[in-house]
Amino acid sequence: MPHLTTSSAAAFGVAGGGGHPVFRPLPRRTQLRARAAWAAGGGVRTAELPQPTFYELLGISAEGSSFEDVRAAYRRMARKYHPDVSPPDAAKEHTRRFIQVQEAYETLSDPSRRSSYDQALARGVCRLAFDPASRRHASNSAFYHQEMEEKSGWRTSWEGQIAELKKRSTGKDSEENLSWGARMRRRRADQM
Amino acid sequence: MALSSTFSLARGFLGVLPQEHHSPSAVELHARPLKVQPRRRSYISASLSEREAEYHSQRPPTPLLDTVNYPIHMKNLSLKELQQLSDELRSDVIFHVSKTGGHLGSSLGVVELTVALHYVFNTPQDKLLWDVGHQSYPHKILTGRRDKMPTMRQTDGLSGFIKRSESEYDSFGTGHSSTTISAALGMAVGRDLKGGKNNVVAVIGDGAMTAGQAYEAMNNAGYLDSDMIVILNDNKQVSLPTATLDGPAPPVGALSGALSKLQSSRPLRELREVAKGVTKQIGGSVHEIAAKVDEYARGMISGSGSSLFEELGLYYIGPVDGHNIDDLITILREVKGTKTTGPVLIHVITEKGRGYPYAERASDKYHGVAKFDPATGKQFKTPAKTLSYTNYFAEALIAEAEQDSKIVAIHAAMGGGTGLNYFLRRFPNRCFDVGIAEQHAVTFAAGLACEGLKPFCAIYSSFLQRGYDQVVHDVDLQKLPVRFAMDRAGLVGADGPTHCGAFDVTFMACLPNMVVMAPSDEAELLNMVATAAAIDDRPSCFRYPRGNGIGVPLPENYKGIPIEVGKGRIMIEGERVALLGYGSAVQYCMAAASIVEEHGLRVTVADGRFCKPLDHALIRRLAKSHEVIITVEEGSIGGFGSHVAQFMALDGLLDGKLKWRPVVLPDRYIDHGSPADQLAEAGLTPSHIAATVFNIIGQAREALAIMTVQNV
Repeated sequence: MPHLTTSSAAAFGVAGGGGHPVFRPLPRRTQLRARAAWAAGGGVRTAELPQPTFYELLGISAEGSSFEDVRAAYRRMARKYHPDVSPPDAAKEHTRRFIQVQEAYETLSDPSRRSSYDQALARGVCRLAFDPASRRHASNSAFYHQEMEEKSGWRTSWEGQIAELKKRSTGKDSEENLSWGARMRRRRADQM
Repeated sequence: MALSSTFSLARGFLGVLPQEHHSPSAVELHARPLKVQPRRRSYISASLSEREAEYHSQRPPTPLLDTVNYPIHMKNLSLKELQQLSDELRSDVIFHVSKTGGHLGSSLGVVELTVALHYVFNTPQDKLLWDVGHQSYPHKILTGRRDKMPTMRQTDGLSGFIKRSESEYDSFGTGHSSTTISAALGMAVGRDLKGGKNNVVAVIGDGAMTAGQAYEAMNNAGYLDSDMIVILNDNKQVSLPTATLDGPAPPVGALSGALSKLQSSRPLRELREVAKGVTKQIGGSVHEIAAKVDEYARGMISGSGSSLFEELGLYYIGPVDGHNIDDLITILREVKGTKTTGPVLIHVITEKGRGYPYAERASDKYHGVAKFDPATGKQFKTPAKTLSYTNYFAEALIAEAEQDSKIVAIHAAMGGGTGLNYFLRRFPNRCFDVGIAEQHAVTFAAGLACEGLKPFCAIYSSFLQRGYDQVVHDVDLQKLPVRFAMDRAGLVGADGPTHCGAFDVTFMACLPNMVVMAPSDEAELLNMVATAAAIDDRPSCFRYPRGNGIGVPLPENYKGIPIEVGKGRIMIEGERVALLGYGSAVQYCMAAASIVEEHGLRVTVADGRFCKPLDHALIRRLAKSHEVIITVEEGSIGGFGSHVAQFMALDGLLDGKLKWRPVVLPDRYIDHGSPADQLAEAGLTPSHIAATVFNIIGQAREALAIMTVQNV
């Protein structure tokens, strides 16, 4: 999948000329910008350091880590960063970390959310969905936006499918269609 | 501070996002706007008393739903009113189920879908079929049964599933899964033969798609090309209850992954957008090329799943947001309005338990609940002194598996119902959930047995019916040592005849190589698990009922001792009449014996234990020293009693003065209700048995006296 998206991104970039169709640049969505920025490597606005993924945060591997691993890692991290046990001077930093760890656990422990997150990671959309320092950053809300956009993208896809269905429907009962259903429909039409 | 999975945060630390407006984080994506109070960050609190009410405690007013008794009353509503109707319907379901118990999560997931279907289609002329039927509570409310909802799953009340005799809007009775596409195709073809014009719509879940019958039906539907609509209700929940003991259960099977890929078909969209961009620039002639690209893309890029449906001949539409009424109505209208479609599959994505915060967060999504408090989601579970037979079975199997590494367990999407979730936790590599696929489960177990392993197939008695040919042909014929643990044998109470395990003694005991046994209490169950583990040269099975143990001393660590195969036991020594019980019926016999004793007769009670091989010595002994033998079992004709009678006849024991009478389930289906009511309806209560005793020995007055006393 990733290679397909980059190829279509490349297709956008083709200016075309000499008889080739010019691809009208479609409105850039949040992910494309974030992805391009990510690909560019330096465009991420907020964090100077690259943001860790949920997996890195918990210290587990992305593939093959089971629910048990996730939970054990979460407990380890939570024990370390819970504000009640952290020294007072590191409280703020630890609190921030703790919230991140909790977020990571809640995402990775639910299989469906985990798979959405993996997909988002694969597209390079986001690393950490939650970061109080960068509330407005694209990648922060991209995780949420990505799910919402997925749903609005569904609409586009099924609208196309409905159109296709209508198109196919006109040809469905022609004489060439020998299916049982088509024969019965023709018979019903003849009787009417 | 104890950190555990139910994590309680220290006071003062709310973990609330430090911002002004409530920007949803990834955690609260599915949050619905609450009318009660702003939602805190969702964490599981350690004790119930700390829970604050996240839902209404009183039933909210439902002005719109009050005006809708039948789908025809919905036809003039606007989109906004339909959305309001969905919200009201949702709260109505929650409050009704909170009073009666039943299936909650699945009904909540299909509220919008139900409203949309009844709005667009003209039921009952248009046929609407619900697979399994446990998600049909909103459907029942909208089709004239709202006032009967307080009787849900009770004696003489509404069935918890779809039932044709209940309403004309219930097109096809369901209870087992994966049957609706077949039935819908049958209805579509019947309509075509009659020349009719109505629509046929089948709603089936992604869990039911693990069963082969769904594919058999789709394959045939694609071939026949009859107009029909299949709605695939995808909520990523493929096993029941939809969780293991330690959290949500990841869907089993490769199909779930394929269905997920369909949801994220971004590459296809982008390619489509490219194609659209092309045609908009050039117009006309490129349109055909773009259409071809579209077709090509649909097949190759949009994931293997839609190709699967397309290859089977169903036109795939989706994915569709199943909680967006606008989308649903648009699509359904379009498909309904298209003159000729052939079979169409609409892939709808829903969330189980949607709209009730506790259900959304629970790992089992509140699939099946007892009565609960709507405001806090707390279920009222009556404490019991003993565990359920299911639990005892699980513990016994774990105890056996600790000592024998060859023991493996198989179930068909019923980890919670069979108790094998406990086995899974203890032995994660030795427990297999095959999805709703009983036929495959049986043959899979047979394959395991070929390799020298000791498979225990835990499948409900009524669900094993589906895998019967595999039991006969793959297991029994080849004499492979597969063990069948048949839970929910006999009458099952609120679930009704679709889940009733009436026939398993009959269909298992007629097989030549099968050892058939039944425990009369939980200690016997532990021993029979051990016995089954020890029987290594032929298949064996044992059945046990729904319900809790009676409270007998148990061996240590739930480790049973194998009993001698083909040996019954005498419980009470008496005279004249012998009650020979099988399985849980032995308890009814014991109770009947004490009733009879009050009237001056001490009868013998024996526990047959084995239906195959029978304890011949025991039967001969009983026959020689008694006038009457009454065999009692909670099963249909052709079971234990028939085998005993066959043996006695062949052995010459019936040639003298001996009388034999069977007590079995009657020759009709017993409707859902409380277990006590069902037993009374079936004539299997201790009072009935005691009355039978007196009737046979000619003391009709005593019999009448027993039957006129109120049964306790």
